[in-house]
Amino acid sequence: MAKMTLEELKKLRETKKRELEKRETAGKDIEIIVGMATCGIAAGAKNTLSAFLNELEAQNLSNVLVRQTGCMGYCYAEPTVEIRMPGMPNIIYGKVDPETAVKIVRKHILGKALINDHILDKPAADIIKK
Amino acid sequence: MHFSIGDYIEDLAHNALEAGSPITRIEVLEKENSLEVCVEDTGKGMTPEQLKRAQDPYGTDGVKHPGRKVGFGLPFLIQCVQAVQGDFQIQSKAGKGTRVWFRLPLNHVDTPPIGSLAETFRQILAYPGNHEIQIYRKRGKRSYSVFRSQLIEALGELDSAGSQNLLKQYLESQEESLSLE
Repeated sequence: MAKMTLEELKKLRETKKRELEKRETAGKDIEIIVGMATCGIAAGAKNTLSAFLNELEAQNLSNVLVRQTGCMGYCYAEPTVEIRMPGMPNIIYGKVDPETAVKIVRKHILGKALINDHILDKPAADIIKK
Repeated sequence: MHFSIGDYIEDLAHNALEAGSPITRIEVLEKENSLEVCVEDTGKGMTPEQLKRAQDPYGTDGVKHPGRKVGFGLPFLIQCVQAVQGDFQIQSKAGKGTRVWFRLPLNHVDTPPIGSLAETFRQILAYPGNHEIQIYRKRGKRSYSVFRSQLIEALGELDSAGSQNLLKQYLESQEESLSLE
């Protein structure tokens, strides 16, 4: 691969954008938020984030927003990921390894079904405001 | 502990961004037998007392989670540096910013792998917010620089999966150019 220039990157983006405009595109209102604090990084959140990006590309879901955040308070269950999308409740999943990330894209985002054994139902007890 | 040196760099970058740094500069200099990293921010900085506490694993500012008493970010790095006889420096000034520098030998058996720096840089650059990040990477005599503002100009945004995948292609091509003879 030759060293890409910013101009080439811009052209590549325009080509991709034109391709997207030609087909029905979904995903603009879907948000994946990955916890990337020390606890998340130590538990492998970088690989989880990469797995989401690879699977979204494979499923033609380039418009999905993928954001990073700090510690969500579930250090014991990292990597943690929140999914926000229309037609589904906001869900925080825990222990999301790369395989689970792929499952979330296929089952939760595309299939609109929950992955029950990874759902975290409430924040950790010590960070709930009394 | 973190798995790769890239993980430590990412953790330091997040500290800078969480400190509200408008401009953060990251340098990763790879020599034959060592890797030097510098993360310098213009965030809120720390007082001498806060700086001491930041290096203690059982110290935290208590802002994010008031009930918790641990903060492992910098202590993880310090432990790693000590384990492989590397060097570590930190300077901070309240209201001005913080500079963290470390050097790890690449030929020590316990030095973590560098990991994919294209991946590390992609994630650092895509961290949400309105801030500038400058990355300077050098390996031997070859180097490249990237600026977050220029990447946003080229890609339009860095929030979507599509932009982040293009960004990785771009960064991988920069990394590959460092190994070309």
